[in-house]
Amino acid sequence: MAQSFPEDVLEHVFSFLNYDKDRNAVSLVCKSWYEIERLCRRRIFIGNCYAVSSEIVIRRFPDVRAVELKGKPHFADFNLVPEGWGGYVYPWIVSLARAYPWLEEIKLKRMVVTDESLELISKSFKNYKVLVLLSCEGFTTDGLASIAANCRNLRELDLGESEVEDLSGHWLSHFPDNCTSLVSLNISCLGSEVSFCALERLVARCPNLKTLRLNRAVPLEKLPNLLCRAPQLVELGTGAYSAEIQSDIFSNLAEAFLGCKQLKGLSGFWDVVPAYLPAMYSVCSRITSLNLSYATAQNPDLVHFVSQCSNLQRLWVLDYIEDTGLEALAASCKDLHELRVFPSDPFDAEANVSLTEQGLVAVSEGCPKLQSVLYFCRQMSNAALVAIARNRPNMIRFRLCIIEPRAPDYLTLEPLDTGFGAIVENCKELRRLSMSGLLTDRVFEYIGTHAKKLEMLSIAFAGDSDSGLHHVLSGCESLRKLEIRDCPFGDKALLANATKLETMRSLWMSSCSVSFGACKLLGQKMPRLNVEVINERGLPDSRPESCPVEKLYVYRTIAGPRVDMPGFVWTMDEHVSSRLSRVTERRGD
Amino acid sequence: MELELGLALPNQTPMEIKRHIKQKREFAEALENGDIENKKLCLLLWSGQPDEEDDDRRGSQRTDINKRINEEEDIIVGWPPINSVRKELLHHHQQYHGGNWIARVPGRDNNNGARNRISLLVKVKMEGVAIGRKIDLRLFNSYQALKHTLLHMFSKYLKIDRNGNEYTVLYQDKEGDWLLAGDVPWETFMESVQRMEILRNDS
Repeated sequence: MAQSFPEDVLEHVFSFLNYDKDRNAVSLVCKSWYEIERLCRRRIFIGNCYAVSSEIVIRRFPDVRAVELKGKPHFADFNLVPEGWGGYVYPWIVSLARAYPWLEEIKLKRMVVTDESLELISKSFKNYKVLVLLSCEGFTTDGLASIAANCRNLRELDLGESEVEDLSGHWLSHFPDNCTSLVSLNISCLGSEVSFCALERLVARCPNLKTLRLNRAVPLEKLPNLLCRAPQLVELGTGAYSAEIQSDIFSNLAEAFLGCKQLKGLSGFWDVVPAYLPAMYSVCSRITSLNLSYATAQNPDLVHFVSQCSNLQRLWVLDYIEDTGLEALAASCKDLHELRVFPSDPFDAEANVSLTEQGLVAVSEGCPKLQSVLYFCRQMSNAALVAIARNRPNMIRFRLCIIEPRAPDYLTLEPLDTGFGAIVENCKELRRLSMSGLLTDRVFEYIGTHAKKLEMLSIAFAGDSDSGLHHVLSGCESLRKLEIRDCPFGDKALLANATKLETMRSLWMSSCSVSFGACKLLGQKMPRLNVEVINERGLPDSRPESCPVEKLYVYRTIAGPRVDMPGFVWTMDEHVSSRLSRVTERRGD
Repeated sequence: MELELGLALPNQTPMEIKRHIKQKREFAEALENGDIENKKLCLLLWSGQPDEEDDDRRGSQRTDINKRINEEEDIIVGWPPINSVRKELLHHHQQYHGGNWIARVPGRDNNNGARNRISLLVKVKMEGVAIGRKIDLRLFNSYQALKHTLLHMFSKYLKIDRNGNEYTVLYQDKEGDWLLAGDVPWETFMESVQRMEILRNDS
């Protein structure tokens, strides 16, 4: 049957397949489909840059136009991955530059990107269009200058929340006068001021600009200049949202916003002066995405502004919104899909605002489409979690962070096992879960039993024994990423579920009770896993086998052990025991 | 007049100490000074880390800032799980905007009245006492009340004359200079104080 269609017909059919899952399925049908598919795959997603080598990728897919790579594990966001761990993109860029002269898009997350890499990107690809750097580091504004200067058809430059060494704002002026192709520009993470004139001219000459996210240094008084030149904007990130209270600044701002009829998303809002919030009232009813998570506005100004946005689908906000604000949100924003509430004072055990579990319960009751939650608070109860679970069986992502580790149900002082158990039992489509508070092995039993669609699980300061880990590894059929910190999980569960690890992207365990010996055994037993131990204190001198490792990162790979590891990372494989004994011998003399 | 004062061992985390305070109510001697209203004083113990010059932030990589933030706050690494962008934003505000990070409109007096509950925590070290303390300056509105409370805080460690005549209270301003507390108006002091130190007059 497969042979009866000419190749170009199949290729045309395959061109409608955009998801990797579908393309992977298609390539398993038969050899000729595998061959046809691999020649016409244009987009590659690599969730772990160490899972595969660039050579293997290029050999299989000879004509790729877009590459997405992720480097460090998620817990790197919270400083748990030491500096120098890895995730260097340069070797990838070198290979990609050689193999894909027509590459158009590179998206990187949590990778180390140097100015060298950026310069190489800017000079190697004839039709380069999209550069997205999320939570990356290692480059300076000089690297950005190369991109601006050399990428003639640049459509998208998104610096995400990357750590950029800001040498000067001058890099923006490197965009040539004939560059008119920009569709999306996000420089919100940059500290220094870019030349406003250069920015203004750039915005004016790019008629297709849809997304513009400014940095804090762009003053509010100048925002109207940009908005007037880009009334077609769909997403705007303001700079600092503060200025002296002057009626002409206000009226200019209000008028400029009035002209932005396509605006759907707002972000930025550093240093909010509440008096200027009403300048945006004309766009509020069209806003579907609102990121106020840097905005220090409080109620009533805050809730009044949010309530104007009746079509809101996504809200990111600080806990200044309080329970009362969330109740108002639940009443006015019936289309809400996603809510993230960040803490304004995370390092104080005492609450500085009146935000409790009640706010989240209210939103879960009032917003029928709510499916994605990230919520920081200081108290939680099983009753509230059960209510949320019953209200929202359509929940897909649920991340709850109770600020105090191991905090029990504040009403009953019991563990929160029942509450989270209700979440996994009722929310059958749950794909991502982060838990906190006092949790015993019981909750993991519930998770293993019910969370069949769960793909990513984050656990901290929870559980009593290996039993907990065993429930998760043996029960969660769809699990891809598991990250654990400060839990009493050890060798038994890990070794008993070794084969499970090959079905997952990665496992992270830090400050647990996994021994060097177990890691070695795992590495020896499972050649298709990289079992990496991160021990900043070096290898233990005495009784290394039973010593617990500081951090463990296990991931499946077809690229073999890493070659770019720093001194404090070891791959535990068959070679490691000789290395271990050599270290202890040396220490002895 | 009810005050909750909790003192705990240096190896307790600030959060454990707070819980300790909540659980165990202690009645301290009423302060004579009528300026202090019936407010809860939360005293955090800051474990004696070696003195760090945390003024020079310029040029630091974000990870260095995170390390310093962690050491100053004496907290668990990576907890609560917020990323460095957010942490830096919060910390920046607490250090350089005197803990009150509601935007001040330039040239205007920001009067949020009683609704302003943002604390202004500064570290206080006393000469001769190994363990520094943290105090919330928002609970005071005069130097007299502040000095009185400070000496009371440290009286557990040293025999201090309650009048406090033998002690000088200094503070470090935004520019890094050490100044005598009491020289400038209280409001000015509140806007610039970064940390404080109490010295004996006879040294």
